[in-house]
Amino acid sequence: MSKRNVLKIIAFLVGLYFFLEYILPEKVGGEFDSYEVGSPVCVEKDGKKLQFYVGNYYKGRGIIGRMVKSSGKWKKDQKPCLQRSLFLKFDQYGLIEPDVAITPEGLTLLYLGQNEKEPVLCYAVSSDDGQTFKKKGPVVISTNDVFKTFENAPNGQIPDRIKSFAADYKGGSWDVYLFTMTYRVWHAAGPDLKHLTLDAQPLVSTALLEKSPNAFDVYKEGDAPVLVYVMDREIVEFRQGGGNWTPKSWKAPAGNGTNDTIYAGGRMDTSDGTLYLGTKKMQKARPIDSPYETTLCAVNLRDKGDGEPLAPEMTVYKKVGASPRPTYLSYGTEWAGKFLTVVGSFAIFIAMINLMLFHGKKIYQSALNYNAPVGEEKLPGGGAPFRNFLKNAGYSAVFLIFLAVMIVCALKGQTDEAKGTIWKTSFDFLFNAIQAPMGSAVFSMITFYMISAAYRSFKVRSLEAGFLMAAAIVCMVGQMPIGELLASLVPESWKLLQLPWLSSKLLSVLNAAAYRAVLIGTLIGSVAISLRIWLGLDNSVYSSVD
Amino acid sequence: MAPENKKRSLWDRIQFCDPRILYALFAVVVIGFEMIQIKMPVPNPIWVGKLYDRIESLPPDKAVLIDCDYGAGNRGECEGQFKAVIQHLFARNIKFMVVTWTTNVEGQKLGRQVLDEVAKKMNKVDGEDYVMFQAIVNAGGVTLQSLAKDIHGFVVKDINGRDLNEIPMMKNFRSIADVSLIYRVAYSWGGIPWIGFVQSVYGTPLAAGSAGIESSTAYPYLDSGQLCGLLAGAAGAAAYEKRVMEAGIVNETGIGTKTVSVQSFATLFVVVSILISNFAMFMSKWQSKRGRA
Amino acid sequence: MDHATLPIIIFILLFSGFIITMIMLTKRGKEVFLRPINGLKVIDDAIGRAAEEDRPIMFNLGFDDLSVNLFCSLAVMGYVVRKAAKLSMPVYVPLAQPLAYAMAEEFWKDGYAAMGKEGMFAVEDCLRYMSSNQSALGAGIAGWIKREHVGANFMFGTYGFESMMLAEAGQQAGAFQIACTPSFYQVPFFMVSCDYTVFGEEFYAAGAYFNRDPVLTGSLVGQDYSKLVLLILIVLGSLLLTIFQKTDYLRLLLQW
Repeated sequence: MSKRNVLKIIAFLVGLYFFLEYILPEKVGGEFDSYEVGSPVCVEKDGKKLQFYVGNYYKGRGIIGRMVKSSGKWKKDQKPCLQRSLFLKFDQYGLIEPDVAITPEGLTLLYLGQNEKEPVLCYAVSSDDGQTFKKKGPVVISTNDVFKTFENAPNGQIPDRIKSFAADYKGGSWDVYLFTMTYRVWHAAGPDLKHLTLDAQPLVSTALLEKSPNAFDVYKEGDAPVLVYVMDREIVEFRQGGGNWTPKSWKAPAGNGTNDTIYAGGRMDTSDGTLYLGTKKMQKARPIDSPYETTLCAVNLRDKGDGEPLAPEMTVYKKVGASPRPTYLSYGTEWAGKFLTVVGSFAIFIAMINLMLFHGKKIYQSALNYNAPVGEEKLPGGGAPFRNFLKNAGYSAVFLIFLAVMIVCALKGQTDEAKGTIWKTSFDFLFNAIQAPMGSAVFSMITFYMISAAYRSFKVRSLEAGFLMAAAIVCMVGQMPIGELLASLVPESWKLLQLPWLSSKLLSVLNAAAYRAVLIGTLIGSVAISLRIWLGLDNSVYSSVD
Repeated sequence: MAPENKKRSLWDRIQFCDPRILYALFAVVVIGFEMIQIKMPVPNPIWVGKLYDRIESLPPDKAVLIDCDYGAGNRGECEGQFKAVIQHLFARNIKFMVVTWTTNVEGQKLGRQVLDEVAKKMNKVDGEDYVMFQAIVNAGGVTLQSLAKDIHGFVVKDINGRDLNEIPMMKNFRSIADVSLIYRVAYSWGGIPWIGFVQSVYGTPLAAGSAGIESSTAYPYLDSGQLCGLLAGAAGAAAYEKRVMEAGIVNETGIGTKTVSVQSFATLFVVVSILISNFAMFMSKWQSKRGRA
Repeated sequence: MDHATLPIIIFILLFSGFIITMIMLTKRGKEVFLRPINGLKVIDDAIGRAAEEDRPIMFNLGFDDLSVNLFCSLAVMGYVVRKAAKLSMPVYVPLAQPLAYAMAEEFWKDGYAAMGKEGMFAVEDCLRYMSSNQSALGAGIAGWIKREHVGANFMFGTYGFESMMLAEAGQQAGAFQIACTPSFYQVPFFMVSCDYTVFGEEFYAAGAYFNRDPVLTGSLVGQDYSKLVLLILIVLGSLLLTIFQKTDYLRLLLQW
């Protein structure tokens, strides 16, 4: 098999790998929570404690996992019970903040699905105690008995964007509490999650705390709702009395600053007054690992008085952030990125060697000429060897000297210790006084070249050229202050003659249309070439000779 | 083509004049108007206003990601765009991260000079109010995706060599989910990778500041909503600086405002020279027709 | 994109289907018509002219790093080098990216070797890595063009603001210039300074014009069918959106 065919096969296999990684739906298994865990919610069903939590295999990629408590120990399911859907829009980017309720169908899990727009409150139902769930779509809330999902409002008619929520099912009826971006809390109730009616007024109409909580939950004491706000280092419960919301809070034990434990997710288990919490703590880890140590833990609030320090009493599951365990095809992308970085970095040496060879050769030949006897010079010119040397290899010598100086100053002058030293001063001088002005000067040459080119070539020899000239003048002058000045002389009713307006219309309508057309063609062309290279149909990438 | 006949008419001599004459005249115009700064009304493009309004309404609990990728050559246009926006962000106490790239060292050096100068004037602290770091470029989209997914994992340290995990500000900003706006300042807004790999995937608003000549390719993306604001050249910088001055954030004119009035007359010179060249062409043709007649 | 959505997968499969089908048909002998592109037709003339005037040829690969655009430029460079080698002419290739240098060197050497002119010109004299800084690149190439009094200047690839410098330097040196670039925003600069300018998808068609390989020509036709589909969708979508502005179900369809 020829070398070229081997290369083609390798190229095809590599391309196939990335193509499949791109188009195949992601199915996460195994260590789906290797990066972080959080947002636990606990429920007791048939004497068994079930805990659902959010596991991340990558920052921002949440999946719901399940744990079961048996014989006093929590046992984690190896596979997740609910994942994001790639081809449905509501939870394309992950699932967060689950809440669970026991319903006649089994278990109903509500969650916030993340997507390209706003989080959407969705739900799924399980009949096997939460081992697997079947998605039912978004929860539908209405203010006027029209229970409908809208394109821009998948949850129906909510006055504000949802930040968090809490749900409860009792006596055949749902109570859903929505914590919105404006810190208000709304209540919706209904017989099922597709027919919830929003109250006319919010339950809480102002911000109870200055900052928005990391987690939010609601439970009932009798018929009265109790709001639970989980903050960074504090947990606050609000109870309504006399039209006001009275807080009762617990603070986290004193920490040591940047390494403090932060409370993240949290849901109350009202059966025993336990608050299941997710915590986060910074740790020094290898750069590619998650820097957090995350924990699922629990604390009993009933025994605690107002203001008592609150330390988690039971750690359910501790996860020291590890390298994200990608899905079955994602290893390659990460590896390819690193490979390209390394290869690209070494390629700089090839370029440097070429530069050295070229300029070194010039200097060497000039030096030979310098020492050559009269009449035997290898390069043109004679008589004044040093002048000839400067003429033939002066620039090369300058280049190599400045290259060496810049490299040394950059290496020595960019460390913290170098502040105030000659290296730092030299590097700053070389950059600010030489490189930057030279870059600006060379860029300015373009303007001069443009003037001579335009003066020479921009001639109106046909009707189309005339239109082009007119459009060019309108665009040039319209974007400048002089255009504004001229526009101020034109009345508003003659807006069509105002150059800035005309210029913006030309650019945003006509120019945009032409640019889009060319861009479509260009990009399809590049797709075709990429396809040919991938399938090995194009030999030109391997050699110029077939 | 210039007629080869030695006896050229006046109009031919004007049409095909030595370009050095044009260069000299142009230099005189630019230097002259640079010295005699004539105050001109600053343009007010709609997309500058949209960016300003967006920054005014940014939530304080998220950061802005600024891609500082301009060079010494386009400093005249891009530096004003960068400076005015960071002044606005500082005034609103919105934290921001400045990312620079290994492929453009000038962007880092120039950006840092501006950033340090503005931060000192506005009493802002590196690490608490802003952070600057440098990212390695692998291949366009892959780099941006990696940055968007996990900033700490991809960048690791800031330009001062501090671990991002130790920087107070960076505790809360770990990925694109914590970013409320991306603002790219570069010669070419070159946003197709940003749009394809970040904006369209995560929905984070993207704005651009670019050289005037490159801004024409940004207009299709403005109308479609993929770009939420555009500062085009020195005019865009001047417009933003004007808004920032009117808001009382700064009380001195910026580089954009100083440049745009000179640019205005330079543009006028180009237009006039093209018109003269065309007039000379028509006169030359008319003369030769008359001569034949 | 993080991951393909359903419409993206459909379009990928559809466009790939068009391209592969047309490749298969042209391989089986289907005649395809390729519109002549003036800028590509005159490459041979340009090389011949430079050879007559005994002035070197310069081939600029642009600012591309390892990418599809670079491969297209290299394919044309290979053709130009072979033609120049036949006439014993040097081809100067300034480079802006180190990775591009490695590939260009292979193509350049192979081109001369194919015509039996291996070793005729020194690689390090003809292939030079200039700088990855656009200002330095433009100034360096402009100087090189003027010093060597280049006779034919080919600019194939992606360019930034240095395009004006290269084109104008070549114009002042009296070189025959052909520019071929997918960079839309540099086209005006090339238009005023070059003899021929090719842009957009014609840049990707350049390879097919020289060797008329059925694979390449079939792929061009497949591209056109893909564009036709997109055009129909755009027109249909615009019409439907205009007529049925407030209808929900059509909105959903149009925004899928």
